Amino acid sequence: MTSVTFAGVRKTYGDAVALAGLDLAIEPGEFVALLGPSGSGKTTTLNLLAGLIDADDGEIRIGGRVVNDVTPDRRDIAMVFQNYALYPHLTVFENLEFPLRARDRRVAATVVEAKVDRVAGTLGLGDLLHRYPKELSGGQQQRVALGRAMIREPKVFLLDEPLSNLDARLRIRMRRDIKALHEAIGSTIVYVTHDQAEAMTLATRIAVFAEGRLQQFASPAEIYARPANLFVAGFLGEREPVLMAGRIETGDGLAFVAPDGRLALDAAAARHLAPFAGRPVVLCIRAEALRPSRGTDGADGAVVAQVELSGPDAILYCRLDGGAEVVARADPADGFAKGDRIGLTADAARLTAFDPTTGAALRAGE
Amino acid sequence: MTQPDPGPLPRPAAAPPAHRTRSWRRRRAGRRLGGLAADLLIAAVALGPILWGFSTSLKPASEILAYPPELVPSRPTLEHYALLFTTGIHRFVLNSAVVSVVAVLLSLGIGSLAAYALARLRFRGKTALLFGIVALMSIPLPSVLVPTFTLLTSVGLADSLTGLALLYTAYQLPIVVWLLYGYFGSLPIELEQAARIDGCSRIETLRKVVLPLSGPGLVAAGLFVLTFAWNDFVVAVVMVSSESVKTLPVAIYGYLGFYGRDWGPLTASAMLSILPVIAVFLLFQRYFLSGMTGGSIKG
Repeated sequence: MTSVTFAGVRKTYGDAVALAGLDLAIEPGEFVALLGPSGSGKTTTLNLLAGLIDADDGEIRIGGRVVNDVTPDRRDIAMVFQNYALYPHLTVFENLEFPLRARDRRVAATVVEAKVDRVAGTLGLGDLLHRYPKELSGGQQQRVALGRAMIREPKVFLLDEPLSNLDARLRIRMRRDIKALHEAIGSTIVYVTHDQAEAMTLATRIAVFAEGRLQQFASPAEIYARPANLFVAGFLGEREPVLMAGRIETGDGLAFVAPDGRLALDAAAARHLAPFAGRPVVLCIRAEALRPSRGTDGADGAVVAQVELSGPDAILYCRLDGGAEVVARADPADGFAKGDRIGLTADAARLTAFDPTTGAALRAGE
Repeated sequence: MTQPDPGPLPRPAAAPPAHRTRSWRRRRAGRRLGGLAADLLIAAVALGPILWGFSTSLKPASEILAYPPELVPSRPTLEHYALLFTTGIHRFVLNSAVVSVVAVLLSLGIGSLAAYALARLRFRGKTALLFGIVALMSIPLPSVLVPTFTLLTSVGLADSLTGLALLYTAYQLPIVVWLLYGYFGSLPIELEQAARIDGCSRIETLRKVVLPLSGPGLVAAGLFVLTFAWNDFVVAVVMVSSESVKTLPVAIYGYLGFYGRDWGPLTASAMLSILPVIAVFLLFQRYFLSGMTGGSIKG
């Protein structure tokens, strides 16, 4: 169990800033996902931690030891690459034993065999040990790559988009396997992904990156419910939230008023929004923050423009009376159909307001 | 290569498409014949002298210069080959083999270290170094022979196999470095990063991961050095004078002696000298071709 710390770490390529002063403290045994679009700095962060590139500035620590000048082979880490990077000229067995032999030339054959057998057993690779990587399926290659990382019981695991080359079903199964692996070995894991669903399901904490900067570092629930800024709000979640520019008003009960629409806000639930009454805000409205109803009593009127069935939910694309388009989640059993006149009630606790100029979340008491 | 006429094809009633008309077929046949003729011409030019030499080497000495010449000897004999072995040609073969093998091993050893550094390390002056290596390749060999001879003499390596092997290595290193530099660069860098993280030092990464995956590149580079060292006449004849360190091409030249031309032994030894290179090429042909195309074939 080892902590990982970045303090003021900077990396530039010529004029391009890959990472602008990263501060990040990962607790021992944590599973941290580095999440962001391509070019956001997440892979740079991982490569810096692995020692594959050198930081321009700042300090990287693994377990309290400053590793800036430590070569990758001496950092006691293991990494799973996006393309697996299995040694094509070696069999599965030789791939698995490679890290053991690379570190200690004189390691006993019986020790190596016992360790390879154990890892192969855990990952179900027992029958494949004599095969070469090109004779394996993508999922099997993936497991060999995981096994090669596990075999040495390193202090920190680095995973670089390990599931992105697998098909959708297999990806979901491997997600569970990786989570089980983390629970079994308890090592610190740093996991790079651009897939927010992967980050949400796997990580104990997510570090969201954009444009070389850390945007937010918090638990998946916190990141989803209380995004720190508009970028995070937009990046997390199955579908893009609706972002509406307008104003919180207190006149006729608390309400959010935009030029093309209006949402009534329950005063008790909207306590976190009340302090910003009177100022312009951007409101982030996720589908689950709007409850559709048949009647329009006490609700804002809207017309269903389109219905999309997504498994357990029906997603309603609605037009508010003012003309603004919003998205609401409904139970398919309620049978809303295109053209229906409905009422929408905002679940104010699930709304987040942002400053229109800085994009930062507006929070009471901050 | 002409193909048997497949006979009339079942055709729809409509007019045949343009590419199936008679004139198109005639043009295609013409192109094939032309290609075949060109191939034959090239083969004749390349192989003719060798075949002629082979034929001559099997003729009795009295018939070699007979007119009209015979392409296929009417009374073939192995006497010239027998003579070669009784006069000790194996010593020159051995000299050539030792010099070639040492040159191949040295240039691959030094070349792969240099090429790996150029391909994967970042250091000041790298581009200049690469350009310098290309520039070295363009210097014609004869222009440096005299200074090289002076240099070799002053360090006491003239007229020695060691000196020859070192010279061949030096002459061929630029092309070896250049070939391997290209090949190493084409390998996926993640494999090397994985090896580093798995606990290998740079040099172990080269030995355990890069070199085993560079078979075709190493074979291509090695064959360049081998053919150069094995076939070289110019350098050897300048640097070497003692009988005991003569290489095969220099020994063959000896048959164009002061007192006349021994065509029989000359052609017979020339035939012998061709054999090993052909054998090695046939053995490594597959690797050689894929090595020349810059690592496009990978497992």
